[in-house]
Amino acid sequence: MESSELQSERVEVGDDLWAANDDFEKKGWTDGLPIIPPTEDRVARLIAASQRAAQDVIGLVPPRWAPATVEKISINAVMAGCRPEYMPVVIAAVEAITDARLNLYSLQATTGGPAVMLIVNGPIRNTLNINGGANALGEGWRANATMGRCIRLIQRNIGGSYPGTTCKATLGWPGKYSLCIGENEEASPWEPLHVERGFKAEQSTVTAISADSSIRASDLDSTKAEGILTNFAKRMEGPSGPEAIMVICPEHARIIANDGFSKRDVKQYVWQRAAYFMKDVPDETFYQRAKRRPDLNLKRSSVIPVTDQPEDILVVVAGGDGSQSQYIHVWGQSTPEGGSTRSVTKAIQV
Amino acid sequence: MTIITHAFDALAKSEKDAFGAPDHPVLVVQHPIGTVKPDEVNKRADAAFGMLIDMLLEPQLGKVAVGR
Repeated sequence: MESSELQSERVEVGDDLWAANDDFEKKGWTDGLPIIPPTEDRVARLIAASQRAAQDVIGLVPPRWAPATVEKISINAVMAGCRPEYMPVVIAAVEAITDARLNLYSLQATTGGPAVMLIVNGPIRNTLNINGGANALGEGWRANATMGRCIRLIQRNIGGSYPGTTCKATLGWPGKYSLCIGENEEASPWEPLHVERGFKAEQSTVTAISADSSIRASDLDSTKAEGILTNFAKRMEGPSGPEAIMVICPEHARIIANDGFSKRDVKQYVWQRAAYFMKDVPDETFYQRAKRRPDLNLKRSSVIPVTDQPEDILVVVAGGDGSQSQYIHVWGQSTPEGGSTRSVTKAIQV
Repeated sequence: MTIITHAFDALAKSEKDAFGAPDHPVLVVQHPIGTVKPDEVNKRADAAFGMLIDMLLEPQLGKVAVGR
């Protein structure tokens, strides 16, 4: 690729990596962690790996509504530490986050401070070593760490979401650095997320969803599905966004499936029990909630489930050995119109 | 005309710039609104109402803060 095809501003930073990082940090272009300087050569390599033209616009990133060109995406991908072969996943992830259904604008601006969580399915997990096994929600895998980080840098550097000014996150949470996992399809007794959503098993996909906190759903005592799922439901009491995410570890998944539960059964069972009882909240909270959702005709005897429908609970199998599952709360609001944000799944073009 | 709380000042400016509407009128009221008792919200609304009408009739007033 000719350097003249690249249209971004050139910034001289010299050869010293430390000085380059200081400079990027002063300009507000980092997430606080060191970056790989996006030289023309590095950016060109990632653009080539994307198999797209440098100035192709993948989507518009709010709140600036700036175009995420392949070049701009590649710059942020280099900074994040992505390998060139990650680019098809990154491109599909940007398609997902700029899809109107996710409503990235609200995620970027809200005091809720959510991250965008990426869930990868299909063969590309193995090709790129995207972890969905032990420590799946933790550190250690370059693909997970850098692809999730790249999306956050894009939100910041292309979209203009800067904490404290245009991003009003009160606290945020560590997921905002990077939150990307593969589903552990090989250890799952059920169909994977992308197959549930109508894709073929042999296709690779990435799902983007709002995520604002993670709650442990460990259970080392139960040997039956009802115990594990009742424990999960307890963790999920209280409304989530329009959706909620159950990350079920393989050991729990096997027990649940061996008791005859399909993914659909899991969602139904938990949904019936993960409830927010209006009889338990103070008067002011009740009245405020009733005002917010007049369509629900709330009474003191009412119960608000974790999501409007059981189908809005995502069930994803991930993790290694151990009886440690997690519930990930989705930022957003259930609304009569269908919700202020919805997860989006896009095919990865390889 | 857009009504914001002052915490969203910078975001409003960013949006106005992004949409090429730097003179879009913005009425700013005190943050927060969500955790404030309803009668306090009503007081703030009453305080801002007159200015709201003025800005609707004369958009060139631009951004005005009320109740900070």
